Parts: sequence; C-alpha cells; structure tokens
Amino acid sequence: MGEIILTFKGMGGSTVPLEADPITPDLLQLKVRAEIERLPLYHGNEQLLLGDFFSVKGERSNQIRLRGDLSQVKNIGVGMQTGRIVIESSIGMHVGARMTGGEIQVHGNAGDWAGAEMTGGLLWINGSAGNRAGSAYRGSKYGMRGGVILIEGSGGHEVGGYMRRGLIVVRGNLEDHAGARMVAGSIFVFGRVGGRTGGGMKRGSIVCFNPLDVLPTFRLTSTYAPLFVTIYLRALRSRGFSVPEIGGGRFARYCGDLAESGKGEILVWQG
Amino acid sequence: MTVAKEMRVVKDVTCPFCGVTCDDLEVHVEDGKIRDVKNACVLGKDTFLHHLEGLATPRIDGKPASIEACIEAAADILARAKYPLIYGLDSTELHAHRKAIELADLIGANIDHTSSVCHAPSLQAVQTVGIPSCTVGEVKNRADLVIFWGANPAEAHPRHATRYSVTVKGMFTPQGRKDRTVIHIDVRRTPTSRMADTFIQIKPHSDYEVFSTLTALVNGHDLDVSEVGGVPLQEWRDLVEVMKGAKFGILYWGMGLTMTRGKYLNVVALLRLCQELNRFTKFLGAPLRGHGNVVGMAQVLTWQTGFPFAVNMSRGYPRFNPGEFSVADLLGRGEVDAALIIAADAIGNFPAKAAQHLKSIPLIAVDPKESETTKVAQVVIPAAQAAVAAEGVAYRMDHIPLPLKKVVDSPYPSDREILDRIIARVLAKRPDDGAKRAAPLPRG
Repeated sequence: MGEIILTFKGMGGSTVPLEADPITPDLLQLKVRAEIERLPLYHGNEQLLLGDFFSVKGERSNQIRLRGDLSQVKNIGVGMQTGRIVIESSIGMHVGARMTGGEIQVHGNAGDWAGAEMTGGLLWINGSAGNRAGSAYRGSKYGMRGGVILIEGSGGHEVGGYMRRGLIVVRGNLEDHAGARMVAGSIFVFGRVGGRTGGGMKRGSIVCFNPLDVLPTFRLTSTYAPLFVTIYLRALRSRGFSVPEIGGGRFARYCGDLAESGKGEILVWQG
Repeated sequence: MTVAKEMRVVKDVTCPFCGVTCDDLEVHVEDGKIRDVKNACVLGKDTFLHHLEGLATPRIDGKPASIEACIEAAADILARAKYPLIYGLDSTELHAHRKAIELADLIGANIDHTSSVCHAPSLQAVQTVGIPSCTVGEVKNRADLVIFWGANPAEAHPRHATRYSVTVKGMFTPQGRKDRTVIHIDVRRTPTSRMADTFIQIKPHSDYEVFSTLTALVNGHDLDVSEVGGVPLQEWRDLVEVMKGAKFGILYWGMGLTMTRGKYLNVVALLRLCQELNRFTKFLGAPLRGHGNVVGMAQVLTWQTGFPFAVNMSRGYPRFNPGEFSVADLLGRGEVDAALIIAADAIGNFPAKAAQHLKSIPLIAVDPKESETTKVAQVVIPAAQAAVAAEGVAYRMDHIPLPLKKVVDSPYPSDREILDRIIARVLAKRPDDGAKRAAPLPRG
C-alpha cells in the first residue's frame, strides 16, 4: 500500500484559517482520488473542497503525507483512530486532538491544543508545541486520557493541563502551569519549566531535570532514585527519542498540591 | 417672545456606567437636555451630563452619508466577509445583544465582547470549578466579612460600598460599617485600602500562590515555607482564622487577578478557597464587573449559544474556544477579514498589533460618540446611547436584570434598530432569501 501525498496549494493570500477535519487516515483509506478531492473543508464560513486547497497523489491508503506551509491549517488528524500522518512542515491548531490511535509525525512546530484530550496513539512533534498541548478543552473535566506526546522543542502554557493518563515528554522548556490541575499521568521535562508547575494537581507525576520554583503548597518528602524513571528513559531511547544520560541520579520528591488532595508528585533531578 | 421651557424630572433611572448598575438616579431634563443628575456618583453623573458631547456622525470612507447608505455599506461588507468579527456590546442593552447574536449567526461570524479583555477568565474559572455566589442584596443584609482582592471599588465602583458592601445597613447588619470587617488585599495601596480595616500588600504575580496556601491552611496542612507572596505565613494563618470565624464572608475580586500572570487559574484558586471555606461557614465569591452592561452580553450569549464569550458561528453552529475565537487572538493572528464594532472602542483599548489589523480590514463602527475606532472605520453609524437616549435592559454584576430608561431623544436610531436594519439588508442580498445560512454544497 502506497501513501497519499497531499500538497498544499495555499489560500491565495487569505489569512483566514482552513479547517481540514476530514484529513484522517480513517476516512482517506476508503476513498479513491476523485473522492478525496471532493471532501469538504471549511474556510471561514465557506465550505469548499479538499481539491481546492490540496493536490492529491495516491489513494486508498492509511499513510498520509502533507506538504507545503500548513501553519494556517487546523484540525489535521482530529479524532484519528488508525494509520499514520506525516506533516513535512509546521501545522496549525488542534493537530491530533482527541485522537484515539495511530501516529502523527510533525516535522515542524505545532499550534495550540496539539493532542488535546487524546486517548491513544502517538503524536511526535520535531519542533515546538503551542499552549495547552495534551490539555483539556475549556469546560472539559479531563485533558489527555492516554497515548504519548513527544515534543523535541519547547511547549507553551498549561501543557498537560487536566491530564488523566498518558505521557508527555518535552526536551525543551515549558511555560507556566505545566500539568495544571492534572489528575494522573506523567510529564517529563528536560528543559526548564515556568512558574506554578503542577498547580492544583491531584495525582500524577511531573519529572523535571532542571531546578524549579516549587509552589509553597508542595512539601519535600524524600530524595531517592525512582526505578520507573530509568525504565521510561530506556523506553524513550528505544523509540529513537534521544534523552540525556542521567546515570542513576537521585530525585527530590515534592508531594502536592496540598490545596487539593496532595497525592501528586514533582520529581526534581538532583544529579 | 419667550417660549415656555419644558422641564421634567425622571425618577428611578438606571445608570449604565459600571456593573453596580445603580437604579435610583434622578435626572433633570430641560428642553431635551440633561441639566442635573441626583444620587449618581461622579462617573455616572458624567455619563448623563456629557451625553451630547463628541457625538459621532454617519459617514462612509470619511465622507458624510445618510444612515440608510451607511447601513447598506455595512451590510455589503458583512455579507461578503468570510471570517468576520462582531465585537464590543458592553455599553448597550439586552435587545441589541440579541440582534448582534442573530447577525453573527446569519453571517457566520466570530462574536466576542469586552469581557474577553477583562473578566472572561472569571467566566472560564466558573466553568472549571463552579462558584459559590450570591446577589449584592445578600451581601448587604448578611455579610460580616468583606474582602476586596486585586480590585479598587472605591474608584471604579464608587457606590458599591455605600449601596451593597461596606457602610450600608441591612437586615442582619443593622449597624452597617460597625457590623462588618473589611479587608483589602492588593499589590499596592489604593483608596480602597482606606475604607478597609486591614490592608495586606502582596508581591505582584503571587496571587495564585497565596490562594493555594490559604486553601492548604484551611484544609489543615502545615507548609514548609515561612512566607508567601512577601507576607509571613503566620499572617495568612491569622487570615484563615478570620475567614473561618465569619458568619457570612464574601470575597470580591477584580482585574488584578484576571489580567495578570495565571489569569483564569488565579480565579480557579480563589474559588477553590471559597468552596473549601464552606466546610466551616458560609463563604462566597463574586467578580467586581466593570464596564456598563458587559455582564448582560455574557448572559444573553450564554442563553442563546450556551457559551459566555469567544463564540464562533462560521460552521453554522456555535463553537467556543478562548485563545482560538477570542478577539485579541483573532486580531493578533490577523485572521478576521472584516469587523463590526458596536458600543465599544476597540482600537483605543487593544494592543498595537490587534489595533493594526483592525485598521487594515473593512471596519464598521456603531457608536454614539467619536472614538479611536470611529476615526479609522470605513463605515460609521451613530447610535442613540442606551440608557440615556434608548431604553432596554441591563444586567447588574450579580446577574440581576434592571430596566434602562430613555431619558432624552436622539436623532439617531438605537443599536437594536441599526442591527435589525443591517440584518434585513444582509438577508436581502442573498439569493436564497434568508433560508438558513448554509455553506454551499460541495461542487461537482
């Protein structure tokens, strides 16, 4: 089975974002080229066709490759269940949001809400992610409920907010409120984190490899060498995601947030 | 020859200036002009006395035009737009809100209002954790502990203290001020500090930490730190005891929380504190809402679309996502291709980048007065000022609807009528004669 290559033709200078919800392997794998070209896309309040914005090569495949500058294109891979999407540039908001399975590779930066409320699958971003990656939509009780988000660059505010399960790994830095009000799940940050990390967290683990200002409502409970961190790092390396060698280092364990149930933890690498 | 002057006094007039929405004003009118206003604060008085100053004039591309022609030009712009924005709506009334939402639905627009740049984070926080709250009448009659946090009602809401929260005498607070403890917590002293028994100065951007600390202390935890927000922990322990010991506590917050680092999460932390305190006593929270009828727009938008602000209708149904469909972000990213600004000065208040984008697209301003927005708008439609020259309904900051009176006449139509006429012209321009706004079917 070959792959479907969608090359973005641009929007004729328009700055109105394009909403490309139908671009998921689940839908495209059943369709021939002419059908793919006639899938509806929303450009502002106008409904147009996929063929108006993309040239299509290939058909009936669950492997999709996207080319061209897609930073104004939203909703790629939303809710996808299977297959693979490779994006060869930066991508707009909501990439992989609510996905339940399959894999998305972004060879560039991703907009806000990347992998928001995802429940399964892998979202691998080579560049940076925006705000609220793996987080909840406004008004939702839970953010990410499963799956893995790997970010090689940095992330914005509230990454992993309201997270319920799953793993987020960030090689770069995060802004404020990482893991805000998270309920469970794991966040690894190899760069620096902003303020109020883990604010309002009920359970879950945030593992930091740089010093940080811990909120006053977290208490230092112990310093130890958790085995699970070693296992996670080994698993990441085996997938090809390079992480620094920490050589069995020790972590300070802060317990909180005591303003909530206080059963979450922030682990800070002590070298 | 002398002509007998028409003089009358309009009683029980509702003031449109701030969220206190005083409804006991007396306006003295002489020959269609307002001569005096009784009972109002200086802000409210100014609103009425200067209602004839700086009025806008109808024009297209800077040239004088009839209202009719302006409405036609506005409808032209909006009917053509792919991703329009309707914004403002704080200084107008309920029926204009309804018409604006109808228009947004019709043209598939983004609709947002002034909350988006003031108390929208409070609305988000309420969506996140809920709110224990009450009307100002409850505060007047029952509250024995009033805390103002990140707010300066002494200057922004001058009559809040005397009508509802500090000096007023109520059913269970018969001695007024003597029956209440008032605490002001802020990053600097303001006139509000002077009316408080206690002022606690905290470091800027430390509100979230302080709320979390107070909540942890209420929950009986001890903490490892000696100070939070630049204040010794013991002082926070004492405050918790005061809060727990109150019969009826209320925490009023302002934009010092919603527009600083942490934004809605500051308010989430505040509301969690209020909720936890209810295990010991009655303790409530309420935002001090500022500008005019901005609460009303959130109310109307919520009852009509299910969401309080940052609503997008481009797919024919409402979607809500602050950050994606909120005004500052839509403009900051330069996405919208036309804008209708009603009863608000967007360009005068927005960051330079957002204002710059507004200037680069077809812009329609509906406003009683000249503003930075009307100066650059392609189409300017002057309106009769709500609560002065047009009647309607406004919502007080505690979500109580109050009638707005028409005190004097205006040569211009009301916001409601202008929007209604724009809607009629947009409908007339579409071939299907206003059948439900539907995107064209896929071609081929």
